[in-house]
Amino acid sequence: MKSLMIVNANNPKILLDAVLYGADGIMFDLADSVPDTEQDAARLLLAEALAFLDYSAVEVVVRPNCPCQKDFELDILTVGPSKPCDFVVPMATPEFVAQAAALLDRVEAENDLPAGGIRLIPSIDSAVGVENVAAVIAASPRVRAVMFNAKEFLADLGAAAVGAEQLVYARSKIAVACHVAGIDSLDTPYTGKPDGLAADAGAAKALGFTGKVASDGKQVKTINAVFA
Amino acid sequence: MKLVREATAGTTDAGDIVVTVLPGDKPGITVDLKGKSVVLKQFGEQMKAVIQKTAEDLGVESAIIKAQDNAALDYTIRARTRCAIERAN
Amino acid sequence: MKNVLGREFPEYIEGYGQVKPFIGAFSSYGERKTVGARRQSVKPASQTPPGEAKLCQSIEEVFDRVGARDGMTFGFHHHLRNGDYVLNLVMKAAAERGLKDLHVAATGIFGCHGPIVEYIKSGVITQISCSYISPGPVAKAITTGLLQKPAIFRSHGGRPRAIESGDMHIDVAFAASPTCDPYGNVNGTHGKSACGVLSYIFPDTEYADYVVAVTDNLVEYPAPPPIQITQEKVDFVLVVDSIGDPAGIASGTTRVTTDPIGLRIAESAAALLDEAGYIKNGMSLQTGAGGASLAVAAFVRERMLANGVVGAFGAGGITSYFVQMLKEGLLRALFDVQCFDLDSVKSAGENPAHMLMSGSLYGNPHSRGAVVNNLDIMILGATEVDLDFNVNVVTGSDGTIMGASGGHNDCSAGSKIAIVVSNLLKGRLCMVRDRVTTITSPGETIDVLVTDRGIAINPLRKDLLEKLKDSDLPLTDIKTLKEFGENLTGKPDTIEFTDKIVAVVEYRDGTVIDVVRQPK
Repeated sequence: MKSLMIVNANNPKILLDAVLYGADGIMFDLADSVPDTEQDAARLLLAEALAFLDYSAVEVVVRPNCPCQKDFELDILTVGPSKPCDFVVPMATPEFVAQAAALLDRVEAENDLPAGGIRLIPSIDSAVGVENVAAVIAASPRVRAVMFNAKEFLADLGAAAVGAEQLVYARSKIAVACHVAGIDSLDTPYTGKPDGLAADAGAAKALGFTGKVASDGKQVKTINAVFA
Repeated sequence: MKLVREATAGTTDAGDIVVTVLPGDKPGITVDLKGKSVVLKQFGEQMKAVIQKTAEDLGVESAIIKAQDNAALDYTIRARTRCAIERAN
Repeated sequence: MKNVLGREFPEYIEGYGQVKPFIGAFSSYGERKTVGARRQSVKPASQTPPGEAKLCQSIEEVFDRVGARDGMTFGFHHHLRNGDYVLNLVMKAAAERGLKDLHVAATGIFGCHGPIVEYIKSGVITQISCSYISPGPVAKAITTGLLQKPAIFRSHGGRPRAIESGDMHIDVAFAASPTCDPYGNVNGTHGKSACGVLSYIFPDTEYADYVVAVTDNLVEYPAPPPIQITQEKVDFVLVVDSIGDPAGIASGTTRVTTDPIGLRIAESAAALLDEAGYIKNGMSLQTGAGGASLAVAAFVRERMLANGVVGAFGAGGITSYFVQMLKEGLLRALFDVQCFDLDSVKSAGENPAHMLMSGSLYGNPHSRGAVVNNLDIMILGATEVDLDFNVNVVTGSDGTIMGASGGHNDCSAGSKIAIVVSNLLKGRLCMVRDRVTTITSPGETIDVLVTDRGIAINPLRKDLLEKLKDSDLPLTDIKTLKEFGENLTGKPDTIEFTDKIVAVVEYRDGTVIDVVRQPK
C-alpha cells in the first residue's frame, strides 16, 4: 500500500467520493475527525456506507477511537460486521493490539466471517510505541502494516515540530521493524505547505517506508508517485 | 423500539439529511420529507419508503419523522434515521 | 409531429408559428438569402437642425424618435452579464409609456433582470427570446407559464441566423455601450462599465430598424480605439447615469476549479485529447468558463508546453487563461465572443491578436463559414446526457428552466471533437439518463462524455474507439455509467408536464429540436 487517505467517516459526500482519488487505501476516521457527540452517527453512517457503496477497488481501513476509550469497542463491534479490510489500533501497545484482535475474533465468529480475515494496522503515536514497535507487530498475526503519527509522537516527547531530521530515529526504527516482519510501513500524514510533500515523502521512503498516509485527496497523486 | 423523546441526527452538509423523530401520539409512522423539489419530485417517494422501512425494521410502532434532505443517498438516509431513533430511545 | 430525435410537438405553436422540425445536425446547409435592412439616412452636420442630432436627452425622446409602439421587438446584448442595467431601464420606461405586447430579444437574461417579471405579469412583455438565461426570476416566470407566448431559445449562432434570414426582426436595438461618442462610435473595452467585446449585438446593429447606443461614458468624437460599433450603424445615442454594476459585469478573475474531483475529470479529458492526437501544432481550442471546463484548458496548456506545441487559436468566451496562453505564444490568436474577466477585457482592448468575433462569425450555420467550423477541440458542460449522447443544458430534470443553448450546439457541431465534462452524480441526480428532459445539442455532435466515474465515447466515433482501444484511460460505455449512477440514486420517478409549451428550443439552423412544457 503506497497511499492511505484519511477521510471523515461522518461525511456522506466524502464517503461517496473517496474512491475517486486514486488512493490504494482509504482510512475512515471515527476518532479525531468526529466530535464526541457524533460518534454514534459516524459509526452508523460508516457501517451503512460500507454495505451500500462499492469500495472493492481500495483497501478499506477503519480508524476507531483509542482502545483507552469506551467508543473503541463500539466502533469495532458496529463497523466490523461490514467487513473492512483493516482496523487501525491507535496509541498501539502490544496489549491494545491484543485487545483489538480479541474483539475481531468475536466479530468474525458472530457474523460468520472467516477467522483472522480482518487485519490490524497499529498506529505508533508515542515514544513508548516507537521503542516497542517490534513487540506491537508481534502481538497479533493480524498486523498487516504499521503507521506512524509524528505529531503525537513529538507531542509525547515534548518537542516542537521543526523538521524531518528530528524524526529520523523513529522513522528508521519503524521502517526497519516492518521490513523485518515483512509488512508495510506507512509514514505520518503530511500537514505542511503542498510543495513540501514530495520531499517529506521522499525522506520517509529513503528510510525504508513503503507508503504514506495522505491527509487529503490532493496528496494522493504525489504520494503514489514517490512510492511507485 | 419505543421513542421516549425527540431526537435529531444528520447535518446540513451536501449529500446529508437531517432526520428528527418524535414519539407518535397514535400507532403508525408518519414521514414528512422536505428538500429540493428537483430531488423530491423524482425520488421523494423512494426516500420516504427508506425512512419508513428503517423505522419499522427497528421495531418502531409509533413515530412522527421529519426529514430535511440535502440530496442524500439511501445509505445516508438509513444511517441518519437509525441514529435519530436510537437517540430518541 | 415528431422530429428525428423523437421529440413531439404540434406543427403550429401558438405565439411561435409554424414549426420546422429538426432533421439532423448537418442536413440544413446550402444557398441562403438574408433580408434587407431598413435605414434612416442622416444628412451632414451643416444640414442637421438642432433637435435632430443623434444625441437624445431622455429615453422618452428615444421612444418618440423610434416611433415606439405596442408589439415591437427590442434587441439587447448581455455583455454586462449579471450587472446589466440597460434592459431593466428600457423596459421600465416602456411600461411607464404604457407599451404592451413587447418582445424582448436579449442575447442573455440574468438574475439582475428580475424586475422585468412584473412587466411579464402585466403584459408589457409577452415574448422573450434569448441565447442564454441563468436560473433566476425570469427563468422561473417562463417555467411557470407567466409569459403569454412561448420563449424562444436560440444558440449564439442561431440568433444571428434568425435575424439575418428575417425569422426574427429587431425593431429597436438598445446597445449598452461602455464608451461612446455623440455620433455613435462605440468602444466596449474602455469606461467605468467596460465589458470587453460587444459581439452579440452585431446582427442587431446590421439589421434592426433603429440602433440606440446607451452609454454612461460619453466621450468626444471620435471614441478611442478599438471602436467596435461604428457610427454608420447607430441612429441615436442615449446617456444614462450607469449602464451596469461593475461587480456583476466581469468577475475579477476566473479560476480553475480547486475541487480535486473536478481536476481529475479535467485531467482525464486532457489526457484523452493527447492520446487521441488532438494536441498538436495548429490546434484550436474552446472551453466553457465553468470550473471543470476551464481546468481542461489548464491541463491542455501543460501538455502543449511539454510537447512543444503551438496552437492556432482559442475561441469563445475568453478568460485570463486564454489571455495567458496568447501571451506565452501557445496560441497565435484569440477569437473572442465574450470577455469573462478583467484580464480578457484589458487584452481585447490592447492586443490585435485578441480579435472580436460577432455572433454570426462565431456560430451562424448559414453564413459562408463560422469560426466553430475551424475548431478542433470543444469542452462543454451539460445538465443531462442521454444514452444517445443528446445533451440538455436548458432544463433541470424537474423541467425547471436553468439555462439556454449558448454556444453549445454551435460548437459541438463545428468542432472536430466535442467533449462533455461533468460529475456523474449531481446531488442525488445521475446526469446520464434514458432520456434527457430537453434536447439542446443532438448526440450526433457529442463525441465523448468524461465523468469522475469513467469516460464514455460515442459509438458513432468508431475512429476514436479504435485509436483509444489500448488506452489506460478509464473507458466505459454510457449505459454502464447510467446503471452505476442509478444503482446509487434509484430510478427517477417520471416528472409530469402539462400540455402548455413555455419555451421552444431551436437548433442553430432554425429547426425545432425540442420544446419545454410547463411542469405540473
